[in-house]
Amino acid sequence: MLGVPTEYFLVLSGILFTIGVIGVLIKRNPIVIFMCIELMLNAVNLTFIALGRHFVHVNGQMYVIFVMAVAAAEVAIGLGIIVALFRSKETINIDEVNLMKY
Amino acid sequence: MNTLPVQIAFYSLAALTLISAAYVVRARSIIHAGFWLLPCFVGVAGLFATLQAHFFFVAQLLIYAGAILVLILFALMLTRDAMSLHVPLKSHLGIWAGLISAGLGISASLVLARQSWSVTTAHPAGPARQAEALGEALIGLYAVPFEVASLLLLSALIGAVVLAKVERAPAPEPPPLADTLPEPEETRKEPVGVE
Amino acid sequence: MIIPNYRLGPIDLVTLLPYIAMLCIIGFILAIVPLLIWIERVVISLMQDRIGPNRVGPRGLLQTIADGIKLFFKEDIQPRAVDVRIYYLAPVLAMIPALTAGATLPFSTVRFRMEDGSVQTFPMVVGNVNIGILFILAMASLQVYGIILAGWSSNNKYSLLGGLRASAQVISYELAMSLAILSAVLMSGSLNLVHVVEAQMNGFWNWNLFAYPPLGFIITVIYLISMVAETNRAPFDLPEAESELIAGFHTEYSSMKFAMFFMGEYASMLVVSGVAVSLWFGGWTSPLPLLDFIPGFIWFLVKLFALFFVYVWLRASLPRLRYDALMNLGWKRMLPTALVILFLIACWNTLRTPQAQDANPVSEITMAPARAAEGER
Repeated sequence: MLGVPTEYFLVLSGILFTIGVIGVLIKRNPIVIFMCIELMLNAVNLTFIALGRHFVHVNGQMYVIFVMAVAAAEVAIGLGIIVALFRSKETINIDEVNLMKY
Repeated sequence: MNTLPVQIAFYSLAALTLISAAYVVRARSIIHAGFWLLPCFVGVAGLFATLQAHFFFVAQLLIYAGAILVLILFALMLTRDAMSLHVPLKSHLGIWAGLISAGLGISASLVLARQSWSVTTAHPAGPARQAEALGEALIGLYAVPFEVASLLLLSALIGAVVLAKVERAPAPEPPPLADTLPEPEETRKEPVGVE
Repeated sequence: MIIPNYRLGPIDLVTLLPYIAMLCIIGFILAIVPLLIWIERVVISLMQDRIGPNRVGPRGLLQTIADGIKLFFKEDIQPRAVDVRIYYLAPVLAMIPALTAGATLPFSTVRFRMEDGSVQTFPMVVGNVNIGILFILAMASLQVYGIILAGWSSNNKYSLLGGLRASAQVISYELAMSLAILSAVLMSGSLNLVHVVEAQMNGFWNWNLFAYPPLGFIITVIYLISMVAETNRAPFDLPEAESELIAGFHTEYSSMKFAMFFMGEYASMLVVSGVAVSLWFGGWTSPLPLLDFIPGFIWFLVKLFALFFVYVWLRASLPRLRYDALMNLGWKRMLPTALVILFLIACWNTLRTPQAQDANPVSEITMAPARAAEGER
């Protein structure tokens, strides 16, 4: 039958998500933050797929398709913004990018 | 399906994913962090395969490892001199981040693990069935979200083009003959502090 | 040729077939590369009116083997400023995806006499999976990592530029390639390469090359162009343009590591050519029904070598493209054309079979390791 119980996958994706959260909180480089967001999205995908298998339903897998679409769009736009930001402000420290703050 | 190979695969892939994810966060050089993402994505893809989601095994490799990560690395290499600038990589939120996330992770894992997940008896459908079910759901029940997602991708495409254009406008590509113009881009050695 | 299904305890030949296929593919790819290099050199020298390799062995046949031995015994130079781990990882990563992608490539059929006396035909393929062609696409997209890692870790501006060019080129042409593959999938109605090939049986007029005239032909040409670009071969070999970038991403590599890049390049050429053969040129099937007695893998090899000859021919006759021309061709010509053709094929399918919706929801595809192809004698 199924080799590995569902909760193992859920715990694994929880840990992966936590690693992503840590990265987002402690890093200052926007691209690294970006990578950590991708880690979190991957953790979420893993949860969806595991639960989709658990409940034998296609819904979980559908969500993953949309998450992947959103991630692709996010990368295209986000990297464009980061590169443009670097070109205009010449900094990669996310703490110094505060144009929209005031 | 026999159990033992699947379990071995699960544990090794889980170790691969988590260790490389940890290295993504830990790596001191940004491009190393990017490189460490590759085994992480491949590990997640392998986990999808152990979950019998063959289509997503391929999609993960194709989209995350093949497209997204290549884009990220590409951006990193394009802005190479920027990425080697000396800025503190770590934010001051470090300790709090550790505490919060540890709490989050432990509590989430506890909640997830203590819930009694009834053992599923249904065998997951074969890859053929899965791909077909996905396709039918995409053009059936999920037709509207599917269209919305395609609109989102289209707008991202246009947005990326617009961003690239705006960024290129001040420094146009040198025409093939006029190579007498000096390069103005060589003066970004020290970061300009804002305010 | 019918092979009896020998059985030893629980293991019989049919269950062993994927492993045999795996050995065949890996052994073939690794063993054929010297021959391919020799063919390339001889053909190019003929086209350029030179003599070509003629010293080692008869007609220079052993030249590449001698070169291989030379490379093997060369000093393994490690430049001082490289990023060591990534530097050593890159050639490995250049080879693995190409070898792995061969796993879903069917290259022949075997007939077995089963226990009950019936004769069944099995495809020679490692993983007869229903997403085979997507798997090959995924592996092809991983191909770029060897180049990126090599270009970055060498710590050399030529390497970095070569790596950047290669990755931009590969991800640009992958789109046209995926769309071309998708249209072949639409033509045959399956993602499984075995089914795609079986849909093209019984004569060359059934090949996807001639399907939906002239769409099949155009999309085949698009695939062939993007295949050459995807493997960074001339005239798309900007990543290793020796006139501007020395040797591109493998400038700093020597001895066996250089040889591994070389092997990886040829292996990926073989794999994408094999995909082209399976998708458009009928795979292992014979072009004329009366030639069916020749075993499938010979047809596959003949078609494969024909495509390799096209590769060499292009290299000998076309000058290298300028970089912006390369990008223009990929994004402004081939991608829109492929999209339009995909759309037209979808329309054609819909118009021709309007009753396709009420077909049975899931076809009776079993996922045994090697599916019987109902080959009645």
